[in-house]
Amino acid sequence: MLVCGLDIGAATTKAVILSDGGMVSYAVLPTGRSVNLATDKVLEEATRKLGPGIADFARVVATGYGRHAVPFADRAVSEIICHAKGLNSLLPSARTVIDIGGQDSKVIALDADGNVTNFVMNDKCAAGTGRFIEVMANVLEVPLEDMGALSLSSGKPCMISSTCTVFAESEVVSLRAKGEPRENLIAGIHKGVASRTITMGRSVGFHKDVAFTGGVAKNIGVKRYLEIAVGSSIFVPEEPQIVGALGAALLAREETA
Amino acid sequence: MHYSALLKLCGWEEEQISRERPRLDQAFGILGLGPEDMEAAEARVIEGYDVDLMGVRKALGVWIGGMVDVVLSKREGKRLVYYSFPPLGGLSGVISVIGKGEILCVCPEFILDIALGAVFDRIDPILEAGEEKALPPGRALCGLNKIRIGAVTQGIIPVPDLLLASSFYCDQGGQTDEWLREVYGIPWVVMDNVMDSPWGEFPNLNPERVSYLAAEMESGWIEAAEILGYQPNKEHWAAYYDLYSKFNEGIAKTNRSMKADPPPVSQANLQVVRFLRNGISYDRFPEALKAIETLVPELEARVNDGIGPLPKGSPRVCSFLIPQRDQSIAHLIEKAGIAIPVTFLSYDAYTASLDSAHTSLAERNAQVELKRGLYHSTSAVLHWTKKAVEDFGLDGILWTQPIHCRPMSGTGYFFKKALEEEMKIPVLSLEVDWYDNRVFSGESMRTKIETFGHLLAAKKAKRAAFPPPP
Repeated sequence: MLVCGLDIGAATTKAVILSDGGMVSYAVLPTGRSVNLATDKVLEEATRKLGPGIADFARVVATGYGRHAVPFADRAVSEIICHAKGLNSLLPSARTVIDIGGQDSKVIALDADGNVTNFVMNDKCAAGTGRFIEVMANVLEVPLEDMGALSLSSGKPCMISSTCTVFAESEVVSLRAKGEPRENLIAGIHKGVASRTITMGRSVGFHKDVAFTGGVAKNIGVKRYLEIAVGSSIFVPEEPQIVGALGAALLAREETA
Repeated sequence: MHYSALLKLCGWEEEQISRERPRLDQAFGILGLGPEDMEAAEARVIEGYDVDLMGVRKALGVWIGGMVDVVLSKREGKRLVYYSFPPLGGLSGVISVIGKGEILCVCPEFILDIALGAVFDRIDPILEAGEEKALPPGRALCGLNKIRIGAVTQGIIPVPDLLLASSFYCDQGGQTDEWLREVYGIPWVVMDNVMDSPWGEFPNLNPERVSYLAAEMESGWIEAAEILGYQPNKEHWAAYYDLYSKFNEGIAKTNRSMKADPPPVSQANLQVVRFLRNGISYDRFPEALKAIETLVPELEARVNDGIGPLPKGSPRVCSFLIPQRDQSIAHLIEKAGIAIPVTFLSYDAYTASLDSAHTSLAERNAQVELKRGLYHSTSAVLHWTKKAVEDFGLDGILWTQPIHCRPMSGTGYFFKKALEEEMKIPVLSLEVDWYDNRVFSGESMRTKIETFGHLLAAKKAKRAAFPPPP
């Protein structure tokens, strides 16, 4: 029996397919302009890896901002619940999840069973999200995937004081014009994202073990500054982008039991 | 008539529609509301409100009638008095009583927010006009004040003859009145107070605060009487108290019904009924009373039958206020399985116990205002919330934190921390604007609310499975 979890995020759409034995396939693709097109493509990609003959899933659970737009999903569940569930299966000792995606960031407290006990999520501002880093990467003409490694070579991170993405962009342009090294700017950007996340998450707390999920978790620069701020090492799953979809798939499997 | 179907849906009788037809034609013409708007409004009312309840329908009808009254007031030779929301005790009510048929005393932005916003979805252009003229966007300025200025400057509602102003609770209301006064030369009466009270004093009141507010009110009454040429006497006050106490009795009964599990109705519907006491004029008040008197037995019948929009046992929360111009937010909360039996401004937990040492009318009114909590202190709002948790058997607090409200915008995170620590219940602080839904993200809100609903349900199920020892 196969079940599927779909996470339709602002930047990427993810699919995880589980059998009774565990994860058998997954795929990550850009969401693009159409949620329907993105879900079709990501499912096609994930099932293609399994080979021919896969047609039906016993249950599909959708999550992410596009969760209510998947007509064939049996249930829509918020990504906060799915991230907690998915992370719990990877690191049962985790009590805090920091999730930074394309357009939002969350700090989630969870119990030993992967249930959400408290959470906080950013409001309507792009600062402290993946989109913020993406905008800055464009300004600095650095490929997004190189941002993390470059920032680690900085000896003196810049202070990016603006909390607004648009204002921070002007600030970065201005600092670059003054000759500030690129790696210091990138490190400052990452430090700023980490700082905003920590400030937001204080009301929930950062209890050990702390894990980091979402697309931004691939950025080792942000991870580093988060670790400095919480004062401990942070667990990042091998594929941090699919944790929400994994949680959705786990819920789908539980619901078919 | 293109508006008949909508008005009947909103509880108007055929005879009333015929009688008011010339007024309706004129007012809807001024407002630019045509046949398409009426059809769209019908759909909004059916989708947004519980139209099986005649009391709710009648309340919507009173708001529409109230909007017609204020739009036409000057053309009909009436004198016009505006007060701000939330109103400061008694004076607006008694002016309405004194000047019945001659003076219209209303909170126009509240009328427009519900009638033109919730029913017709035509409030955004007025908000934009308010932003263009006086209160620019992006500066955390109150939507209600934008509506007042936008509607006056666009000529949708007339320039009033008198403003009843206050700024001790919210400086923006006073500043809005000051702007209108400067631009249009409108006289005003200012009643002020201080918000200083020792932490934890509430529900007791500092006698000096009562005396001071009462003195402010009393001088305000005298000043207003001189400007309007009317002197309120005991009969006027008695008439005011009679009508408003009957209405408040109705509110108390709806609160009793909402203590049931499941609560018999969505909070979205109750707000439009309860807020009638905060906006419309005395001329429409008998209709308002009729609406709540119709609603009370309807709710009691539902309680007896165990009927409500959510299943029995659903998690229960209180909220400060639910945005009333857009019912979809209240429904979003309910769709996530969360019932809202009570909101802050709907539940007068302490106004029945007044100190008999204060005997004058003004002192009585001052006490009522302070006992409601909002005009007392932040600690009073916190105290009230804790009482609501006990009185309504709440599982959590969904604190709709109004980002553009000066007095309330800073309290969300503080309340969350205090209530979680002291009451041991989950609190979700949700950034919204009660009057302007252009300024928050619906999708982000949905994620938070759905997660909160899941969290509350899980906690409630766990408590039921493992009840605490007696």
